Amino acid sequence: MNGRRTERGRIRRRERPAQPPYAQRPLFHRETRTVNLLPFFCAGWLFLVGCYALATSRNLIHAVGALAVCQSSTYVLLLAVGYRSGGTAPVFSDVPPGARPVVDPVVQALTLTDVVVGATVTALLLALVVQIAKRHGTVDPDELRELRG
Amino acid sequence: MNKAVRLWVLGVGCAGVAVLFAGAFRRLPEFGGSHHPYGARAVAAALHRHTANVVSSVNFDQRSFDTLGEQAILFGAVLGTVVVLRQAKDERRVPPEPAVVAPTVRGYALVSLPLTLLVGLYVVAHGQLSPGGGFQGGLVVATALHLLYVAVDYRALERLRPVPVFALADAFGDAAYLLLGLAVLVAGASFLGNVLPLGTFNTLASGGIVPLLNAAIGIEVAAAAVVLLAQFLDQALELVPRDGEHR
Repeated sequence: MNGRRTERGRIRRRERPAQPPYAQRPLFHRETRTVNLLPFFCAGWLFLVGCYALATSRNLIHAVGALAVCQSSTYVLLLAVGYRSGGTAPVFSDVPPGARPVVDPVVQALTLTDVVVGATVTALLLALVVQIAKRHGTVDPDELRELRG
Repeated sequence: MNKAVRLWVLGVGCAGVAVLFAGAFRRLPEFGGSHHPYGARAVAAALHRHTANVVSSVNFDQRSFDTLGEQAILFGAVLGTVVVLRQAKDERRVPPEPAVVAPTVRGYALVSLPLTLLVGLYVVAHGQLSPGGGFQGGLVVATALHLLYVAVDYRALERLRPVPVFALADAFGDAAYLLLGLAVLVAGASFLGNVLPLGTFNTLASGGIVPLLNAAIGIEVAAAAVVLLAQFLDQALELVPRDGEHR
Protein backbone atom coordinates (compact mmCIF):
# COMPACT_ATOMS: atom_id res chain seq x y z
CA MET A 1 0.00 0.00 0.00
CA ASN A 2 2.71 2.44 1.09
CA GLY A 3 5.02 1.45 -1.72
CA ARG A 4 2.41 2.00 -4.40
CA ARG A 5 1.65 5.47 -3.13
CA THR A 6 5.32 6.49 -3.30
CA GLU A 7 5.48 4.99 -6.77
CA ARG A 8 2.59 7.13 -7.92
CA GLY A 9 4.10 10.16 -6.28
CA ARG A 10 7.36 9.59 -8.12
CA ILE A 11 5.64 9.33 -11.49
CA ARG A 12 3.72 12.49 -10.86
CA ARG A 13 6.86 14.35 -9.94
CA ARG A 14 8.65 13.23 -13.07
CA GLU A 15 5.80 14.38 -15.33
CA ARG A 16 5.63 17.83 -13.82
CA PRO A 17 6.87 20.48 -16.30
CA ALA A 18 10.07 22.37 -15.61
CA GLN A 19 9.49 25.19 -13.12
CA PRO A 20 11.26 28.54 -12.82
CA PRO A 21 13.97 28.58 -10.15
CA TYR A 22 11.98 30.50 -7.56
CA ALA A 23 9.15 27.93 -7.56
CA GLN A 24 11.53 25.08 -6.75
CA ARG A 25 12.65 26.62 -3.47
CA PRO A 26 11.08 25.39 -0.25
CA LEU A 27 8.28 27.54 1.11
CA PHE A 28 9.96 27.94 4.48
CA HIS A 29 13.63 28.75 4.49
CA ARG A 30 14.17 30.41 7.78
CA GLU A 31 17.36 32.48 7.48
CA THR A 32 17.37 34.03 4.03
CA ARG A 33 13.70 34.21 3.09
CA THR A 34 12.56 36.62 5.81
CA VAL A 35 15.14 39.24 4.83
CA ASN A 36 14.48 38.78 1.12
CA LEU A 37 10.73 39.11 1.59
CA LEU A 38 10.93 42.31 3.64
CA PRO A 39 10.06 44.68 0.72
CA PHE A 40 6.97 42.60 -0.10
CA PHE A 41 5.80 42.61 3.50
CA CYS A 42 6.48 46.35 3.64
CA ALA A 43 4.06 46.76 0.70
CA GLY A 44 1.45 44.60 2.47
CA TRP A 45 1.91 46.56 5.69
CA LEU A 46 1.47 49.89 3.85
CA PHE A 47 -1.75 48.61 2.29
CA LEU A 48 -3.19 47.46 5.63
CA VAL A 49 -2.17 50.67 7.42
CA GLY A 50 -3.90 52.64 4.67
CA CYS A 51 -7.02 50.49 5.03
CA TYR A 52 -7.07 51.02 8.78
CA ALA A 53 -6.71 54.79 8.37
CA LEU A 54 -9.42 54.80 5.70
CA ALA A 55 -11.89 52.88 7.88
CA THR A 56 -11.31 54.86 11.07
CA SER A 57 -11.00 58.26 9.39
CA ARG A 58 -12.94 61.18 10.87
CA ASN A 59 -12.07 63.59 8.08
CA LEU A 60 -12.60 63.08 4.35
CA ILE A 61 -9.35 64.85 3.41
CA HIS A 62 -7.54 62.47 5.75
CA ALA A 63 -9.41 59.58 4.07
CA VAL A 64 -8.18 60.67 0.63
CA GLY A 65 -4.65 60.72 2.05
CA ALA A 66 -5.19 57.22 3.46
CA LEU A 67 -6.27 56.03 0.03
CA ALA A 68 -3.03 57.48 -1.37
CA VAL A 69 -1.12 55.40 1.22
CA CYS A 70 -2.98 52.28 0.01
CA GLN A 71 -2.04 53.13 -3.55
CA SER A 72 1.60 53.67 -2.67
CA SER A 73 1.74 50.08 -1.41
CA THR A 74 1.29 48.98 -5.03
CA TYR A 75 4.27 51.11 -6.08
CA VAL A 76 6.45 49.41 -3.45
CA LEU A 77 5.20 45.97 -4.48
CA LEU A 78 5.72 46.54 -8.21
CA LEU A 79 9.20 48.01 -7.81
CA ALA A 80 10.17 45.24 -5.36
CA VAL A 81 9.06 42.57 -7.85
CA GLY A 82 11.18 44.19 -10.56
CA TYR A 83 14.30 44.81 -8.48
CA ARG A 84 17.50 43.04 -9.36
CA SER A 85 20.56 42.98 -7.07
CA GLY A 86 23.24 45.32 -8.41
CA GLY A 87 20.88 46.49 -11.14
CA THR A 88 20.76 50.05 -12.42
CA ALA A 89 17.96 52.04 -14.10
CA PRO A 90 16.79 50.57 -17.43
CA VAL A 91 18.08 53.58 -19.35
CA PHE A 92 20.97 53.21 -21.78
CA SER A 93 21.79 56.84 -22.51
CA ASP A 94 24.97 56.71 -20.37
CA VAL A 95 25.38 52.97 -19.75
CA PRO A 96 26.25 50.83 -22.79
CA PRO A 97 23.72 48.01 -23.29
CA GLY A 98 24.84 44.84 -21.56
CA ALA A 99 27.46 46.55 -19.38
CA ARG A 100 25.41 46.26 -16.20
CA PRO A 101 22.28 44.35 -15.22
CA VAL A 102 19.18 46.56 -15.20
CA VAL A 103 16.02 46.33 -13.11
CA ASP A 104 12.76 45.26 -14.75
CA PRO A 105 11.46 48.16 -16.92
CA VAL A 106 7.97 46.68 -17.31
CA VAL A 107 7.04 47.14 -13.65
CA GLN A 108 8.57 50.62 -13.68
CA ALA A 109 6.28 51.57 -16.57
CA LEU A 110 3.34 50.08 -14.66
CA THR A 111 4.30 52.11 -11.59
CA LEU A 112 4.38 55.28 -13.70
CA THR A 113 0.85 54.48 -14.90
CA ASP A 114 -0.14 53.84 -11.31
CA VAL A 115 1.25 57.17 -10.08
CA VAL A 116 -0.52 59.16 -12.82
CA VAL A 117 -3.87 57.47 -12.26
CA GLY A 118 -3.47 57.78 -8.48
CA ALA A 119 -2.77 61.51 -8.70
CA THR A 120 -5.75 62.24 -10.96
CA VAL A 121 -8.12 60.15 -8.86
CA THR A 122 -6.89 61.96 -5.75
CA ALA A 123 -7.66 65.29 -7.44
CA LEU A 124 -11.16 64.14 -8.37
CA LEU A 125 -11.83 62.88 -4.83
CA LEU A 126 -10.59 66.14 -3.31
CA ALA A 127 -12.94 68.03 -5.63
CA LEU A 128 -15.80 65.92 -4.28
CA VAL A 129 -14.67 66.69 -0.72
CA VAL A 130 -14.74 70.42 -1.51
CA GLN A 131 -18.33 70.11 -2.71
CA ILE A 132 -19.35 67.98 0.30
CA ALA A 133 -17.85 70.53 2.66
CA LYS A 134 -19.77 73.32 0.90
CA ARG A 135 -23.13 71.50 0.70
CA HIS A 136 -23.15 69.74 4.08
CA GLY A 137 -20.88 71.95 6.16
CA THR A 138 -18.83 69.01 7.42
CA VAL A 139 -16.07 66.69 6.27
CA ASP A 140 -16.68 64.06 8.97
CA PRO A 141 -17.94 60.90 7.21
CA ASP A 142 -19.86 59.87 10.35
CA GLU A 143 -22.01 63.00 10.10
CA LEU A 144 -22.88 62.28 6.46
CA ARG A 145 -25.25 59.41 7.20
CA GLU A 146 -28.51 60.58 5.70
CA LEU A 147 -29.05 61.66 2.11
CA ARG A 148 -30.05 65.26 1.58
CA GLY A 149 -31.55 66.81 -1.53
CA MET B 1 -23.15 49.57 12.93
CA ASN B 2 -21.50 51.02 15.98
CA LYS B 3 -17.83 51.77 16.32
CA ALA B 4 -16.73 48.63 18.18
CA VAL B 5 -18.43 46.30 15.68
CA ARG B 6 -16.91 48.26 12.82
CA LEU B 7 -13.42 47.94 14.29
CA TRP B 8 -13.92 44.21 14.80
CA VAL B 9 -15.02 43.71 11.19
CA LEU B 10 -12.05 45.75 10.05
CA GLY B 11 -9.65 43.74 12.24
CA VAL B 12 -10.92 40.39 10.96
CA GLY B 13 -10.76 41.59 7.36
CA CYS B 14 -7.25 43.00 7.72
CA ALA B 15 -6.04 39.82 9.44
CA GLY B 16 -7.47 37.72 6.61
CA VAL B 17 -5.83 39.91 3.97
CA ALA B 18 -2.55 39.79 5.91
CA VAL B 19 -2.62 35.97 5.96
CA LEU B 20 -3.36 35.85 2.22
CA PHE B 21 -0.55 38.37 1.55
CA ALA B 22 1.91 36.32 3.61
CA GLY B 23 1.00 33.17 1.70
CA ALA B 24 1.27 34.91 -1.67
CA PHE B 25 4.53 36.74 -0.92
CA ARG B 26 6.25 33.50 0.03
CA ARG B 27 5.85 32.21 -3.52
CA LEU B 28 6.88 35.44 -5.23
CA PRO B 29 10.18 35.50 -7.12
CA GLU B 30 12.98 36.26 -4.69
CA PHE B 31 13.64 39.96 -4.09
CA GLY B 32 16.63 41.09 -6.15
CA GLY B 33 16.75 37.88 -8.18
CA SER B 34 17.99 37.83 -11.76
CA HIS B 35 15.00 35.98 -13.25
CA HIS B 36 13.01 38.72 -15.07
CA PRO B 37 11.69 37.20 -18.30
CA TYR B 38 9.44 40.14 -19.23
CA GLY B 39 12.07 42.71 -18.34
CA ALA B 40 14.72 40.99 -20.45
CA ARG B 41 12.39 40.86 -23.46
CA ALA B 42 11.32 44.50 -23.00
CA VAL B 43 14.98 45.62 -22.89
CA ALA B 44 15.77 43.63 -26.05
CA ALA B 45 12.73 45.10 -27.85
CA ALA B 46 13.63 48.67 -26.79
CA LEU B 47 17.22 48.31 -28.03
CA HIS B 48 15.90 46.84 -31.27
CA ARG B 49 13.75 50.01 -31.73
CA HIS B 50 16.70 52.32 -30.89
CA THR B 51 15.06 53.67 -27.71
CA ALA B 52 17.59 54.27 -24.93
CA ASN B 53 15.00 54.79 -22.17
CA VAL B 54 13.39 51.37 -21.89
CA VAL B 55 10.58 52.64 -19.64
CA SER B 56 9.53 55.11 -22.37
CA SER B 57 9.74 52.35 -24.93
CA VAL B 58 7.41 50.20 -22.81
CA ASN B 59 4.95 53.05 -22.30
CA PHE B 60 4.92 54.61 -25.76
CA ASP B 61 5.86 51.74 -28.06
CA GLN B 62 5.37 48.27 -26.59
CA ARG B 63 2.32 49.17 -24.48
CA SER B 64 1.24 52.38 -26.24
CA PHE B 65 -2.37 51.17 -26.45
CA ASP B 66 -2.50 50.93 -22.64
CA THR B 67 -1.11 54.45 -22.39
CA LEU B 68 -4.02 55.58 -24.59
CA GLY B 69 -6.35 54.24 -21.88
CA GLU B 70 -4.27 55.83 -19.14
CA GLN B 71 -4.41 59.28 -20.72
CA ALA B 72 -8.15 58.81 -21.21
CA ILE B 73 -8.39 58.29 -17.42
CA LEU B 74 -6.41 61.49 -16.91
CA PHE B 75 -8.69 63.38 -19.30
CA GLY B 76 -11.80 61.95 -17.65
CA ALA B 77 -10.61 62.84 -14.16
CA VAL B 78 -9.87 66.42 -15.22
CA LEU B 79 -13.28 66.67 -16.88
CA GLY B 80 -14.93 65.31 -13.73
CA THR B 81 -13.10 67.79 -11.51
CA VAL B 82 -14.08 70.71 -13.77
CA VAL B 83 -17.73 69.62 -13.61
CA VAL B 84 -17.74 69.03 -9.84
CA LEU B 85 -16.00 72.33 -9.05
CA ARG B 86 -17.91 74.57 -11.50
CA GLN B 87 -19.43 77.81 -10.30
CA ALA B 88 -22.74 76.94 -8.65
CA LYS B 89 -25.93 79.01 -8.82
CA ASP B 90 -25.50 80.26 -5.26
CA GLU B 91 -21.93 81.41 -5.82
CA ARG B 92 -20.38 84.49 -7.32
CA ARG B 93 -16.91 85.37 -8.52
CA VAL B 94 -14.92 88.09 -6.80
CA PRO B 95 -11.65 89.44 -8.22
CA PRO B 96 -8.69 88.02 -6.25
CA GLU B 97 -6.93 90.40 -3.94
CA PRO B 98 -3.39 91.50 -4.71
CA ALA B 99 -0.92 89.86 -2.34
CA VAL B 100 2.21 91.13 -0.66
CA VAL B 101 5.19 88.88 -1.42
CA ALA B 102 8.56 89.02 0.32
CA PRO B 103 11.21 90.31 -2.12
CA THR B 104 13.47 87.28 -1.63
CA VAL B 105 10.59 84.90 -2.41
CA ARG B 106 9.67 86.97 -5.44
CA GLY B 107 13.25 87.06 -6.73
CA TYR B 108 13.81 83.35 -6.22
CA ALA B 109 10.51 82.37 -7.87
CA LEU B 110 11.04 84.70 -10.85
CA VAL B 111 14.54 83.30 -11.42
CA SER B 112 13.46 79.69 -11.10
CA LEU B 113 10.37 80.09 -13.30
CA PRO B 114 12.17 80.11 -16.70
CA LEU B 115 14.65 77.50 -15.46
CA THR B 116 11.85 75.17 -14.38
CA LEU B 117 10.04 75.72 -17.68
CA LEU B 118 13.21 74.85 -19.59
CA VAL B 119 13.82 71.74 -17.46
CA GLY B 120 10.23 70.62 -18.07
CA LEU B 121 10.51 71.03 -21.84
CA TYR B 122 13.90 69.25 -21.77
CA VAL B 123 12.43 66.32 -19.84
CA VAL B 124 9.55 66.02 -22.35
CA ALA B 125 11.87 66.24 -25.36
CA HIS B 126 14.39 63.72 -24.00
CA GLY B 127 11.83 61.16 -22.86
CA GLN B 128 13.17 58.56 -25.28
CA LEU B 129 16.76 59.03 -24.05
CA SER B 130 16.93 59.80 -20.34
CA PRO B 131 14.61 59.25 -17.38
CA GLY B 132 11.43 61.27 -17.81
CA GLY B 133 8.97 61.80 -20.61
CA GLY B 134 5.64 63.43 -21.27
CA PHE B 135 4.05 62.66 -17.91
CA GLN B 136 6.94 63.87 -15.77
CA GLY B 137 7.97 66.80 -17.96
CA GLY B 138 4.38 67.97 -18.39
CA LEU B 139 4.00 68.26 -14.63
CA VAL B 140 7.26 70.20 -14.36
CA VAL B 141 6.03 72.66 -17.03
CA ALA B 142 2.75 73.14 -15.15
CA THR B 143 4.68 73.70 -11.91
CA ALA B 144 6.80 76.36 -13.63
CA LEU B 145 3.71 78.38 -14.57
CA HIS B 146 2.44 78.26 -10.99
CA LEU B 147 5.68 79.74 -9.70
CA LEU B 148 4.17 83.01 -10.94
CA TYR B 149 1.47 82.63 -8.27
CA VAL B 150 4.22 82.24 -5.67
CA ALA B 151 6.23 85.15 -7.07
CA VAL B 152 3.48 87.71 -7.72
CA ASP B 153 -0.16 86.84 -7.02
CA TYR B 154 -3.19 85.09 -8.44
CA ARG B 155 -4.10 87.92 -10.79
CA ALA B 156 -0.73 87.62 -12.53
CA LEU B 157 -1.19 83.87 -12.88
CA GLU B 158 -4.66 84.37 -14.35
CA ARG B 159 -3.30 86.73 -16.98
CA LEU B 160 -0.61 84.20 -17.93
CA ARG B 161 -2.84 81.16 -18.15
CA PRO B 162 -6.31 81.61 -19.67
CA VAL B 163 -8.03 78.39 -18.57
CA PRO B 164 -10.06 77.90 -21.83
CA VAL B 165 -6.82 77.85 -23.84
CA PHE B 166 -5.33 75.21 -21.57
CA ALA B 167 -8.55 73.18 -21.64
CA LEU B 168 -8.29 73.21 -25.44
CA ALA B 169 -4.61 72.20 -25.20
CA ASP B 170 -5.61 69.31 -22.95
CA ALA B 171 -8.13 68.11 -25.53
CA PHE B 172 -5.58 68.68 -28.32
CA GLY B 173 -2.96 66.50 -26.59
CA ASP B 174 -5.55 63.81 -25.97
CA ALA B 175 -6.69 63.90 -29.60
CA ALA B 176 -3.14 64.06 -30.97
CA TYR B 177 -2.31 60.72 -29.34
CA LEU B 178 -5.38 59.09 -30.88
CA LEU B 179 -4.83 60.74 -34.29
CA LEU B 180 -1.18 59.62 -34.37
CA GLY B 181 -2.41 56.06 -33.83
CA LEU B 182 -5.00 56.43 -36.58
CA ALA B 183 -2.41 57.97 -38.94
CA VAL B 184 -0.27 54.87 -38.50
CA LEU B 185 -3.37 52.78 -39.23
CA VAL B 186 -4.01 54.76 -42.44
CA ALA B 187 -0.34 54.32 -43.40
CA GLY B 188 -0.96 50.58 -43.47
CA ALA B 189 0.45 49.38 -40.13
CA SER B 190 -1.29 48.38 -36.91
CA PHE B 191 -2.86 51.02 -34.61
CA LEU B 192 -0.10 53.02 -32.84
CA GLY B 193 2.56 50.82 -34.49
CA ASN B 194 6.12 52.14 -34.60
CA VAL B 195 6.62 52.59 -38.36
CA LEU B 196 8.60 55.86 -38.38
CA PRO B 197 12.36 55.79 -39.10
CA LEU B 198 14.08 54.66 -35.90
CA GLY B 199 17.02 57.05 -36.17
CA THR B 200 20.43 56.70 -34.51
CA PHE B 201 20.47 55.13 -31.06
CA ASN B 202 20.90 57.65 -28.22
CA THR B 203 20.21 60.77 -30.29
CA LEU B 204 17.25 63.16 -29.99
CA ALA B 205 15.64 61.84 -33.20
CA SER B 206 15.49 58.18 -32.24
CA GLY B 207 12.79 55.77 -31.21
CA GLY B 208 10.41 56.39 -34.12
CA ILE B 209 6.97 57.30 -32.78
CA VAL B 210 8.08 57.51 -29.12
CA PRO B 211 9.10 61.22 -29.11
CA LEU B 212 5.88 62.22 -30.90
CA LEU B 213 3.65 60.37 -28.43
CA ASN B 214 5.77 61.82 -25.61
CA ALA B 215 5.12 65.33 -26.92
CA ALA B 216 1.36 64.68 -27.17
CA ILE B 217 1.31 63.37 -23.58
CA GLY B 218 3.49 66.28 -22.44
CA ILE B 219 1.01 68.82 -23.84
CA GLU B 220 -1.92 66.96 -22.32
CA VAL B 221 -0.41 66.51 -18.86
CA ALA B 222 0.83 70.10 -18.61
CA ALA B 223 -2.56 71.47 -19.68
CA ALA B 224 -4.43 69.00 -17.45
CA ALA B 225 -2.41 69.98 -14.38
CA VAL B 226 -2.96 73.69 -15.09
CA VAL B 227 -6.72 73.21 -15.54
CA LEU B 228 -6.95 71.01 -12.40
CA LEU B 229 -5.07 73.49 -10.22
CA ALA B 230 -7.09 76.38 -11.67
CA GLN B 231 -10.29 74.72 -10.40
CA PHE B 232 -8.94 74.35 -6.87
CA LEU B 233 -7.38 77.83 -6.81
CA ASP B 234 -10.65 79.36 -8.04
CA GLN B 235 -12.47 77.61 -5.22
CA ALA B 236 -10.05 79.00 -2.65
CA LEU B 237 -9.57 82.52 -4.04
CA GLU B 238 -12.43 83.57 -6.30
CA LEU B 239 -15.71 81.79 -5.60
CA VAL B 240 -17.73 82.98 -2.62
CA PRO B 241 -21.32 82.28 -1.55
CA ARG B 242 -23.76 84.73 -3.17
CA ASP B 243 -25.18 85.93 0.15
CA GLY B 244 -21.81 86.16 1.90
CA GLU B 245 -19.97 89.44 1.85
CA HIS B 246 -16.44 88.14 2.25
CA ARG B 247 -14.50 85.06 1.23
